[in-house]
Amino acid sequence: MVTETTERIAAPRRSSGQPLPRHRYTILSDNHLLSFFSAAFGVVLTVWLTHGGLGALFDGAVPAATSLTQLTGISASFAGLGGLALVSRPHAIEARYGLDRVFIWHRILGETMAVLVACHVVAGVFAWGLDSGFGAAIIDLTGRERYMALAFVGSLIIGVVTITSLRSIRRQMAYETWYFIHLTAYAGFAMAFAHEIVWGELFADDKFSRWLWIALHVGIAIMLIRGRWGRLIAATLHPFHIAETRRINDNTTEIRLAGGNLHKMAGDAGQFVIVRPMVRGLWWEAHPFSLSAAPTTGGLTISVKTLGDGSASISRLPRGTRMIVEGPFGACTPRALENRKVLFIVGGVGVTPVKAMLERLDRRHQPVVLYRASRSDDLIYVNELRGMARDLGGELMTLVGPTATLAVKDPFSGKVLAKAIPDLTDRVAFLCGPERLLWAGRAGLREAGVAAEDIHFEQPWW
Amino acid sequence: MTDHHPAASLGKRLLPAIALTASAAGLVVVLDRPPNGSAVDGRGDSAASPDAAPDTAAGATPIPTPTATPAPTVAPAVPVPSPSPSIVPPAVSSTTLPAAKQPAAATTCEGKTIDGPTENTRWGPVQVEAVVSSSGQICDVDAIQSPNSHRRSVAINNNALPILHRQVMKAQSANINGVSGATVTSTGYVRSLQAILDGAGG
Repeated sequence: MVTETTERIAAPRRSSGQPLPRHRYTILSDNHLLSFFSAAFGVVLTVWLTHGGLGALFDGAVPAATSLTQLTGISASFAGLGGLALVSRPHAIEARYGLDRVFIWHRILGETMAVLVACHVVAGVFAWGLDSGFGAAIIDLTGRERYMALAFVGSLIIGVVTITSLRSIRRQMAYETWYFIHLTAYAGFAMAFAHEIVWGELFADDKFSRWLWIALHVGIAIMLIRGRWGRLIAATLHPFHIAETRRINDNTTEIRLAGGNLHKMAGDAGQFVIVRPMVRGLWWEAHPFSLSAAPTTGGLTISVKTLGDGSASISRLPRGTRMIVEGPFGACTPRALENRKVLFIVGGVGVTPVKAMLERLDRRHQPVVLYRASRSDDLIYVNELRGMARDLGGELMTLVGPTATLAVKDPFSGKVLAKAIPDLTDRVAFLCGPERLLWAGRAGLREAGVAAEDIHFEQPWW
Repeated sequence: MTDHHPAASLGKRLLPAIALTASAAGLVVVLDRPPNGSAVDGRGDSAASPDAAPDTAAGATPIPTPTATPAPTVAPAVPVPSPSPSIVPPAVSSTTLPAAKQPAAATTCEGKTIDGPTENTRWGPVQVEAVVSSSGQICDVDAIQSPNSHRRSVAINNNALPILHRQVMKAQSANINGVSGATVTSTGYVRSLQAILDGAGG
């Protein structure tokens, strides 16, 4: 019932047509992201400083508590705005760092915001209560003061959304259940806005900072509307359709999607798309699939498991079925390689993007593919992969069977990897597969001396 | 894993979010008491009790009226919480200006009206106007400016300014206890008044 980015299945045949262009990088793509974020926070902090925030901290209990309320309040809002900016999935950031990182940063910012909101509430009750008594403060701040009922309930919503997003709790919910609850965070965020503008000393009294603050919110709202709804609407207005399906083996079907906005799209091998079939009962479920062939103007190819949940339903859809396709997303692409040699460590379902990437490599890359599966039935595209790797001066190594039956205890230990691949440290490594393989592979590569920046993988974010 | 029962499961999966939204909306309706006159009165009440205490304590002797009276009489005169800057001064001066024009009301105390400097506080400017006789007696004192950009400040000052007035009249100097819960305004008030007295005395 839960689909993941890591749930890549089988891969398709090369489709004809011109390769799609790559996403353009912008200044934000080039490691300036943190600087940009810090600079923006600096502006917000300056608003606090110029309103005597720092001095008030040492000016007695009430001013200190008030000043802390302001600081935690604007910081919480800023973290929240940053998190919202990220979920708008700006191409420049997403194509460079990957949707997985974007979501992970979103989570970090969201959790930061929740903690800051809690501090803000405590500091606010103190600031108010020291003046007029804590009983009165709580009554005032939960509803007697104008817009405070909204802000208070908004903070409760933020709390609920944060708790349901804790991994242990979130994993017990269906994705959509969690997602719909998560959507209420927009309401919570919006409900808090009025009290910031009306009560926040920093904004209520100061026209300049007030308009700055409003502009910041409007800007993020536009980003969100464009990034989430705009793109979804565009994708809905220009749906793809299933142009071709091909059974790869008992478990896997390859689907080529054509139509849509292909001629205007950017994309690269190794990326994934989010697919919603326009079919009753399936449209509201979004399924991420890695492209199992390099994307071309001829179509986007995905490989779908024929067993299981939603994916299985998709594999049974007839030709011509309309599909809403968002993306492609992801930063695990041959772009990270430049001219260097490459190693792929692949587990089971992770093979499809590797097959797509091999299509875009040349002999300089001499790709080595380590393909791990617990059953030989799980190996797909073996012949294609072997042929492509050999053509490019590399090779395919398969490692099949339950871990207990393998000749080596840990196939991804640094020693084993270094022995199997003599030029390991010259290579850029891509890891694709289940979470355990990612961490085991990464640890082994690091142990064998591969630099961290030469190890690429998509972290499971669900 | 799960067999697909699409229509049912969309509803099922939406349910928690809808429940959350509904209870949030309900909570807002329950909690949100309109911030009109009643809210101001409410604040006035809650502020009056703590503020009254130090005043009586400081006043020890003859405070002629029960402490709470001045605050309620002023509060209703305030056209409440629109944050336009000219609310408080009229409200306060309406009680005191007549006194300034007819200083002989109780004692015969005549002098010139002096405006003190504007003291900028964290919550806004405070400026005091005092009528000081040639002998240095304070015939009357009045805040012509006080923090008013927030409803909370207005409510606090509605309560505090009459108390400050009484404290000054009794002490006949700027050496007063001030009003707890309105320390910022009190400090500005005292500074502005002290500046008048310094000027008038020297």
